[in-house]
Amino acid sequence: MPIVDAKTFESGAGLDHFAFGTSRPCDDPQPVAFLNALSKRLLTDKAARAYPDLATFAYFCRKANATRALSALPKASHRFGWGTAIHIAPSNIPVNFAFSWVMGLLSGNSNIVRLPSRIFDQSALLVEAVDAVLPDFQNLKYKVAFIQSERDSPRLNALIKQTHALVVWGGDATASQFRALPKRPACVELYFPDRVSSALIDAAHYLSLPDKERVALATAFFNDSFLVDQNACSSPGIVFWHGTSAGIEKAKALFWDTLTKLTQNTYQLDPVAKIDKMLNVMHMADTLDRPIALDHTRQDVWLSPDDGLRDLPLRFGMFVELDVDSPAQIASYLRDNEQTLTVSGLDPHDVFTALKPTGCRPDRIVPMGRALDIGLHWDGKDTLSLLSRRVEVG
Amino acid sequence: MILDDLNALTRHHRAHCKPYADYVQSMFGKDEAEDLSQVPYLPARAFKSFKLQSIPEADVFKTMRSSGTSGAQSTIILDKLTAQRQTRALTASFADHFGKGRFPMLVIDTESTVKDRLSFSARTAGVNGFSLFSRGRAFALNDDLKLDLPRTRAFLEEHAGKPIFVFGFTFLIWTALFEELATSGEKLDLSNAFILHGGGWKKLEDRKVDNATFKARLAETTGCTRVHNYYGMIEQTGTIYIECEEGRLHAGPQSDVIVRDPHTHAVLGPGETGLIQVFSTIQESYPGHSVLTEDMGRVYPGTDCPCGRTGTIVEIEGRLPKAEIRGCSDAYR
Repeated sequence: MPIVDAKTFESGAGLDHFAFGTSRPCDDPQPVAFLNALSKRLLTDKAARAYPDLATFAYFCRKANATRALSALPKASHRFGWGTAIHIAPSNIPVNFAFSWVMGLLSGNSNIVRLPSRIFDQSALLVEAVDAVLPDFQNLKYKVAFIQSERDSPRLNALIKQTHALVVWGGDATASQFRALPKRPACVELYFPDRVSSALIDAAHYLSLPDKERVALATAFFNDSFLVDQNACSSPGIVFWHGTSAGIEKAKALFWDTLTKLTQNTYQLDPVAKIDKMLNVMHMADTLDRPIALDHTRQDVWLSPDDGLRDLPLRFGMFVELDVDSPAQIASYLRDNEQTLTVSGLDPHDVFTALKPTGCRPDRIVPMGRALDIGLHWDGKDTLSLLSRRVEVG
Repeated sequence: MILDDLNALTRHHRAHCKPYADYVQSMFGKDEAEDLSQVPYLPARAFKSFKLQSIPEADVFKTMRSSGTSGAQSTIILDKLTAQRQTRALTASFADHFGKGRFPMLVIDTESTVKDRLSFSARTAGVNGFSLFSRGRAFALNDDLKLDLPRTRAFLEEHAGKPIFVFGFTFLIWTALFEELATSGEKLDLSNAFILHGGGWKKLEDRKVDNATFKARLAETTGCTRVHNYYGMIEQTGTIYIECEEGRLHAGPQSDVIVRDPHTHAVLGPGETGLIQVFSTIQESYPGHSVLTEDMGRVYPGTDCPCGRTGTIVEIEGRLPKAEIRGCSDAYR
């Protein structure tokens, strides 16, 4: 079934066949088989293969992956979806709606997914692929609807009032807006509001790398940040340098110059966002009521050693650099809504061990280059577990 | 050379406007500019986010607000001196093209544009500002923006024999005057008038109207051959760029323009298309002497224009398209 556009949805149509309130057991083999078929279709579709984010999603949907996720879910055989889950997808990340849907699907729910008003090519291709594969899975057929709606849609609000689970992606304002809506007292709500992220680089290890690996690391950092204009929750805003001050100085210059060579060839910030980048500097100085230290000699990569900026929005290629003697030292700089720590030259497990006594603020510690790899455990939430109910027997 | 005046203004605003001073210190450092490209600049949108003033509260003479297309308003704060300078600069530019004095003014707009105090727009500012050059004024359009031919003709008859100053926004002159006359087959004799119009071509984009077509069609329907476009903005009110008889928009003596690459902000050469940055030396009460606009265009040296004006020539192409920002948060924070 194609995306139900806002006009159709607001007129009261589009959900006639949707099996509202239905759920399935989490060990139902159909969703895994369906996702595997969807994955195959996406990986063989020429148009779809042109989009790396669609390819990532396709790999995510493979049978092995889905089976592994379900086998890690405690007592999957005794779990069911809560009923219908409504998903509010973010406006600017094309494939996110599908990841959210998979969370609802594997946890046994029937799902209504609201897409943003702007439909990306990837979103359209994905829904097309779903429509092609879904008829083979009769039990799933009326358990999903992709919709669009107006702002403050009365119909959407009425559905949310009856729904069993609500999953909201977007900024703090979006989260607050949906939190305030009336819902069933037992409605399970998952929010993914604004988060911030950091990177941690070991200077000595970086300096020991051959040129080729330095370029690879720059690409990894680029994919974590510039690929989404450094405007995703998981994109690093602070870069922590670990090592001796001499090593750090040398590593910094090499790292940023290597990155700049990459951005010069492959990256262009939107002209309006480029102006926003200047206005952000003005906001920073205004908020702190003083000038900020800023190195903007490199075109796309702007740097500041000013730790006063760490609570301000860092995006469009603006990084705060802070030097630390030990990984544990970063704890004092991490922010309340810290999400992802990408690391280079250090083992994520060792970094976790170092941060554990401090409470470990970040919800994820992953190698550099994997900041944007969404998973079923996200923002500290085990989504399959939260979106399903577990039946205790005996 | 206006550079000394611009440097003096940068110093003045740094001393008296803290948000500006901290921004300039962060972005540009301390040095005096040795050429226009080095003069610190503010994005035009800064006036929507910040209250920028370099004068004590007691000296505030007037606060101008414009509704921008994005909804947020620009706030421009004037003292008496800056307001006077705006008037003087505007008068000088106007007189340079159309002569000194005042003219019967036919406004291609509705009177409610200036009457309705609640909806102050760029149109309100334009009509009010240029009414400085009016002696007797009539509004050609009704509230539904339809041409009121009897009223317009009566006004023209009343002032028969005198040169008429026709003023309006580009899209209104096209849709409400030209298109209206062309469809109805009515004629309006403006052969003794000069038309000054501004506000941009964006709303006429789907009609594929360029300046040459605009002029040719107006000449056909009204007999008016003196049609002049102008470029200006609320952030530099008073400083305007009027199209000369050769069809070129020149900077006046106290202003200049350069163009920057929209991606790198590097200064571009003559004829290259980029973001327009405007300079003006009259802004004493607010730091608006060097502003990076979100308009795209080109500049050429003005020295060999047959009209005799030597000010830099600017060609406006249009606004930057709205950004499509990636990321997972609400679109704008």
